[in-house]
Amino acid sequence: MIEIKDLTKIFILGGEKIIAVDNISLSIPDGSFLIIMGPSGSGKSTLMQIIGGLQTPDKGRVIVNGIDISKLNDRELSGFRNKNIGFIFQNFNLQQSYTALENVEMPLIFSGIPEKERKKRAENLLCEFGMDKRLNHRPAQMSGGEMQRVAIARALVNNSSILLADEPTGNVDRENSIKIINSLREINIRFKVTVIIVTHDYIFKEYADNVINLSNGRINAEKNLYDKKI
Amino acid sequence: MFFTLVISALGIIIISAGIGLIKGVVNQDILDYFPLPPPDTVIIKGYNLPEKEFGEKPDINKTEDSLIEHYITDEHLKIIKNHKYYKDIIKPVTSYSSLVIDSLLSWSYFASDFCGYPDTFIRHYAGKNYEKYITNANLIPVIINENLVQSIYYPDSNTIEKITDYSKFLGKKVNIIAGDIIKNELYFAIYTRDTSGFFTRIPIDENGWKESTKWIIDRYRYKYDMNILNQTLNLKGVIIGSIPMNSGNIIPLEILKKCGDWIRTRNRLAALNDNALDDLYSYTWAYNEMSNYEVLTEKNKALEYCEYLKKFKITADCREKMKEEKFKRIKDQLKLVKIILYSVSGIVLFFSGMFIWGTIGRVVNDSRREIGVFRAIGATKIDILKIYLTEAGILGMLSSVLGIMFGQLIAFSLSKFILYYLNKEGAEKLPESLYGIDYYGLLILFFASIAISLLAGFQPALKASKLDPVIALKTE
Repeated sequence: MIEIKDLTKIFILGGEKIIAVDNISLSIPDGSFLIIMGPSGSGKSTLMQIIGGLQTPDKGRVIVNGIDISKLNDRELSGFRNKNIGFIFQNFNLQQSYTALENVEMPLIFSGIPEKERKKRAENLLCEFGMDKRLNHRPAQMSGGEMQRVAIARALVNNSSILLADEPTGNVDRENSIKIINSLREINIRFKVTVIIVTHDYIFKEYADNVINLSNGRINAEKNLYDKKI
Repeated sequence: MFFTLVISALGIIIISAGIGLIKGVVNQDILDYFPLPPPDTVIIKGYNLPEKEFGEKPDINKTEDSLIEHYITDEHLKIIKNHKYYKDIIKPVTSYSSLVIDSLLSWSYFASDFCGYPDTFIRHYAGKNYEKYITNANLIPVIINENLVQSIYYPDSNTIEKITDYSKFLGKKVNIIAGDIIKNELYFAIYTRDTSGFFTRIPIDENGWKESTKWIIDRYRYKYDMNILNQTLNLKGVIIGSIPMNSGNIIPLEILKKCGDWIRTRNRLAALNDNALDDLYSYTWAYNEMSNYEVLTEKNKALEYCEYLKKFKITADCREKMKEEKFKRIKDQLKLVKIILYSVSGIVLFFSGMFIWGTIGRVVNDSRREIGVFRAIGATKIDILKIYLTEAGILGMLSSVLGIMFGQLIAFSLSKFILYYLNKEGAEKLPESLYGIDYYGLLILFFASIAISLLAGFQPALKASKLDPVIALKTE
């Protein structure tokens, strides 16, 4: 469960005060498939980054799985991200010099998991994603779909309960966008993880449990399908 | 990264090789290879023999300066200084007394005949064969005492035999100092009490000896107006060691200092002036008594003694005394070399550190997105710091290991090459190696290199750790 209360984030850019997130309150139940939409500069990415512990709010609270992450220091936030959050980036951001297995192992390294165990966990997860023949391949030797699976495996390997995807279909065509959406939806159902996607892509609406639209840092209530479904 | 590794390793190679060679040299008993310490100052105002074997009879009415001009040229000095044995034989002599060499050389033609300085003899008489001759000659510097050094020339067995034969042929009273055979000629120096001594050559056959003996006597008479025709010459044997014949060469420093220019002038004029000759003899004989010489009448004993002296090069009694002074001088020089090496090492390590700093900085800059991903998946600031410090440390360690290995290899090879070269140049006794492993020095170098790498990598690593993950992830 993610609870956001009176969340505000302000940036000062060139002496100008920009309210990226303006007093947002929101509850996201476990296992949701939530889409955050909105035009550029609406604050959707900032909101996602705050939920993911990459940024701290200036005001308000964010309680994730019972942890008020707005009160955590940098080191605690790192631990929080490591154990609770899985990020899926646009272009996947895999380490090009690492193999699929090594990429998936990475979060476990920062968790201090012994090498033997982390290899086993990473390998098992990759096998679940049908990557058993690609374990030792590097990203350059993989297709886009395979890279995506590795990225998802990396996000889930530490048993994260929340998956955050920032513009996952940013640079792909419609056909591939649908594939990505289907994959994420499948993960959402299969692993029972909360999936929050920030996107411009309206195609996601059809698959989402809930959609919130942001505008100028605020939730556009009229288009808040999430509220309706609740 | 690879470039930095190579540059850093190159720096370490230089230091490592320097450490290896210095250790190698320090490990040696340097005295064994450098019989005499290097001179403080080398002052050679001296003079050499004229190029012509027999110059015109000098005009004794001329002034001293004109005599010098007549007999000595800069070209002669140049020949001496450029001679490959200059450093080993002539130069060390000057370290003990520039006056000795000054005096020695200023004796000019006549004095050099009897002064017993073989290099001077040989160069003069061997002519074009000089290089070959000197290479084969057994010229050995011998320390008489702390102030005196002379060269001794050892004849080989064949020469001793011929000298003995010639002496028998002469059947007269003569001391043969030394000799050698070049082609079919016997080169030798003889000494007689009344005629001082001379060095000459004769063909090795009976007729040649007869002719030569007559020629020697005639020549001597003509040249210096000395009557040796009625002298009774009698062979005593081959003289080895610091022989009285060489007394002209070994006038003690203190005496020379006291006499100054006067004695040098006298020495030079001794050949030309009957009155002056008496003075010269007085100095010569005065130190004959001090000379530790041995007359070997038996051929086998002479040969045995030759071999014995060859092994030691310098007399045992002064070796210990010289040791302290030599070591102090050599250690001072090594200390200077070490200071230079350490300074170079410092500069090299500094630049190596700068390279590593630049490299890690560039890596951090190129990996901003990667850092963002690491932070997003749970890496703490400390984790990021560790990643780049480890990278810098590994870079330092690799360059250190590679540098030390190759440096030692180069030091070892250089040592072999130097020894090979010296051996080729005719050096007799050489150490097995000039290379040594300075474990302590290398260990310091190893850790210093890693420490500097870590230090150099710290700033960019810290910068990496402080990167805002959100901004880092936005990096294109």
